[in-house]
Amino acid sequence: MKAWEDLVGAALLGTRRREPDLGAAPPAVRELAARVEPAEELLAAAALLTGYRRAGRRALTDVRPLPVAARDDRPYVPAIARERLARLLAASHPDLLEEWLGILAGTPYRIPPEILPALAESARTKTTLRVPLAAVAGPVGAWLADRNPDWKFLAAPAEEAADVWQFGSLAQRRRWLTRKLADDPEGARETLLESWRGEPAEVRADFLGVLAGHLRGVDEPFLEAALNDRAAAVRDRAADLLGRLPGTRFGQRMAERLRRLVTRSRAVLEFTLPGDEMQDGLRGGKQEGNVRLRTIVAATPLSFWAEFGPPSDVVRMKVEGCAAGVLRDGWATAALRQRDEAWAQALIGADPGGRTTAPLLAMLTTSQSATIAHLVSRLQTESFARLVHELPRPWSAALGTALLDWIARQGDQRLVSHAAVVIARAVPPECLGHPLATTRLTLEAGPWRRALTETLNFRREMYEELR
Amino acid sequence: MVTAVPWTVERVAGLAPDATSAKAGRAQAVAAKWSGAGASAEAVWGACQGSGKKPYQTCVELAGPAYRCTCPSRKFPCKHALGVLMLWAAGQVPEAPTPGWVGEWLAERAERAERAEKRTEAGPRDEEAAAKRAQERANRVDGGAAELKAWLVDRVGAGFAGFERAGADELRTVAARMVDAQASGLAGGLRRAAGLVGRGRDWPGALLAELSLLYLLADACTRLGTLPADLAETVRTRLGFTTETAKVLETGERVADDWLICGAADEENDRLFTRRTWLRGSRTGRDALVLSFAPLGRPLDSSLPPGHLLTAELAYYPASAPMRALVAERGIPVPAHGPPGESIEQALAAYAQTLAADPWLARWPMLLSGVTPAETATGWCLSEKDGTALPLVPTADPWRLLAVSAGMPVTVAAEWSPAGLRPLTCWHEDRAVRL
Repeated sequence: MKAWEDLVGAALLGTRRREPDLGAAPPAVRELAARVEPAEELLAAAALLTGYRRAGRRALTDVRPLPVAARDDRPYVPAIARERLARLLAASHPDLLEEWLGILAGTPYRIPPEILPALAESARTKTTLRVPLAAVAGPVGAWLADRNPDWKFLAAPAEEAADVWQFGSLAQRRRWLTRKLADDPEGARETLLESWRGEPAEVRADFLGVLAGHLRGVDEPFLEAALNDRAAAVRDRAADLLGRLPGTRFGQRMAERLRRLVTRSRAVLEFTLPGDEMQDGLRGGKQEGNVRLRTIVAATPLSFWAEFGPPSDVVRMKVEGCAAGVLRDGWATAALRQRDEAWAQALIGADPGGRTTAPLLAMLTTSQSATIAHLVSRLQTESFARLVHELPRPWSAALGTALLDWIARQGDQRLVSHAAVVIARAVPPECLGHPLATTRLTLEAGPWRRALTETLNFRREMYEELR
Repeated sequence: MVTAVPWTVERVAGLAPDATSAKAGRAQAVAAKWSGAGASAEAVWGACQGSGKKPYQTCVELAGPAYRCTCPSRKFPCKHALGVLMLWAAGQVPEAPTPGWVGEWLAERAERAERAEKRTEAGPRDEEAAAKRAQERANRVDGGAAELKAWLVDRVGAGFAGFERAGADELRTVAARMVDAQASGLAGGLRRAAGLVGRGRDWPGALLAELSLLYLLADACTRLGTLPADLAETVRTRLGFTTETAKVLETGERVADDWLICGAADEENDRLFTRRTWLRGSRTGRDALVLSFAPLGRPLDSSLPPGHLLTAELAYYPASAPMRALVAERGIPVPAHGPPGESIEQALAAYAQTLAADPWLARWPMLLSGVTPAETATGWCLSEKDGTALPLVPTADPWRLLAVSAGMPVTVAAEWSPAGLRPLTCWHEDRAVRL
């Protein structure tokens, strides 16, 4: 609008230097703004033209419409669960939020769309939330991901193209392989073998990790070959996987080798540390004898030790010729790989405070509560509380119940408060009806017990609301 | 029955004086923390174990709402009051007979309200002294307006070139003089102008627009007696004169209708919070603006939840384009589904018409139906099917609106200003969502 530009120009220069020019203004404005003093004339005209400009504002026409998101026919989560979600967002408990999203994934519900931006923002900084959020965000999530580059992760992985194995990213290929191993085990193995030699070392190691979840006897030759891989990470993984398969040639070789290294005289196990000649299948750099012995013990079937006595006796025998810790570590690794519960219990019993106790305890499927009772009686409260902290997750229901029973018996002492936090978060949903959660608290209950009860109840309600 | 219309949790969260309090309140909304929690038609109460030895006793009277809690917090309402209300909103507080301490407090409040009413009735008003005070103030404001006019004329004579260096400070100095002259409207305009200096490429144009309207206001102030009564009221209001609530209730134009509570916008200015709640009469089509003020840490009025329909009688403040109003008599808000809106063309036309009656109009309510968020070269906008669109203000966060719409047309209540639309509420599939 020229009249307006003229006024702004005169205002910048000052009316003492340039008289306002109202020539381009509408006659009505000229008439109404007429003043003696030029500055007043300018201000009056500017006020009038501001009104003109504001009142004459036109709508835009050159807009780019957005595409429409695919329909989402899922019903909204119930109001009470929506409120829970708002609390989870406000309180920044990423692990509870992650659990909530996980529960939601198993229901027919959808998150009201207006909450998705806030969720996407928290998943942007707390990356563990991204996959569970993408799984429930639905078409609106994918639509938002296309609009906001910060939220790309909201787009759930689409049906992947057939050539993803050739051209996809590592994450895409890993997903493809996982699915293929479940749907078409033979085909997956063929595909893996075809491209195996061309893959970089870290990808080979990664794919062995994927294979770990789908291991079968037929994998033995493949893994046996991988023992001679150029990359140490691949060799270690292959040895680890072979250790999980029963009756392998690798296991046999290790047993034979071990036979030459160990003798028993009465209650003493005497070891000779392996020398450099024992390299086959364990190509590594120069390994120290103790380390090599541990590797061999870890790879040997535990049945090897049967002739020395039952596990509980063997683990207590005196050891000569090598460090006792080395042997115990080897046994623990073997027990975990072979999922041998008798050995696991024997090892826990022999050294309850040891660093392998937590993983071994988590592996047990039976008699967990008895083992825990045993540990509680043998360990200082502080050590047991630390053990709780180290237990690998997820926990079984039996483990969860046993630990809840334990903490329910604890007095108001600070030593267990940290374990209480871990237990409250880690027990599986089956344990959330435990008396600890349902019994009314007395007013004397300490802060940690209050927090434990609150968290258990909070989680229980989370599940109930989304039923 | 607990109450006729149970509150939503969002409504409870809206009572919090600030975000931290809302968060703290949510953390208190855990049944395990409360003992003896109960609700009646009038109140919600409970005892909450806090850090102290004795549990805190919390009670909320729903009508106000009014709060009482024995905790030492200076937040108002405190987290315990919010917590017990949230618990109640989530349906976790059972109906119960009113315990003694709650009953006593409610009775106390009722008595105090009665006394206060008597006081205002009986209070002898020294009309003469009041008139004298009013005249003194009017004189001071007159003086301020004359001073501002003189300053503006001098400033425009000298020109604004180079103003970006010290202009903002100069404007704030003049604003302070207007505060002394009790002309808060003029002071506010000058502070707004100070914020424009040097901002963006077209700051001289924006500054001239703001200052020219201030000139118009100061000029009108000197001619107040010659203006039509309604316009004079508008000028007085813009200058910063307030009209007493009682006078508005007594003499203001009354409009009874089923009012749609379109949306609410909160703003902070100098530790004072303002909530603008926009209403639209579903029969009369009249727009209304209800203002609520609160100092930092105090809750804003939450009796007008957006997205609800309220049968009420409003009393308008006198003005050339009446907009601000008080709720004189009200019913209970009920959720409103998919209200009928207007087109962008209609909304702009109504805005232009009102601007003719009140050139200082800063914000205008729009209720646009069938609009979809879209993009332009400079930002987000709301577009009708044929591509007619209005831009959003650059400061608006568009994502909630975008997520709700997901490319589909929605009805949006927004505030229009020369900078663009500020979306407040959005209706989609019969659901109102506060933005």
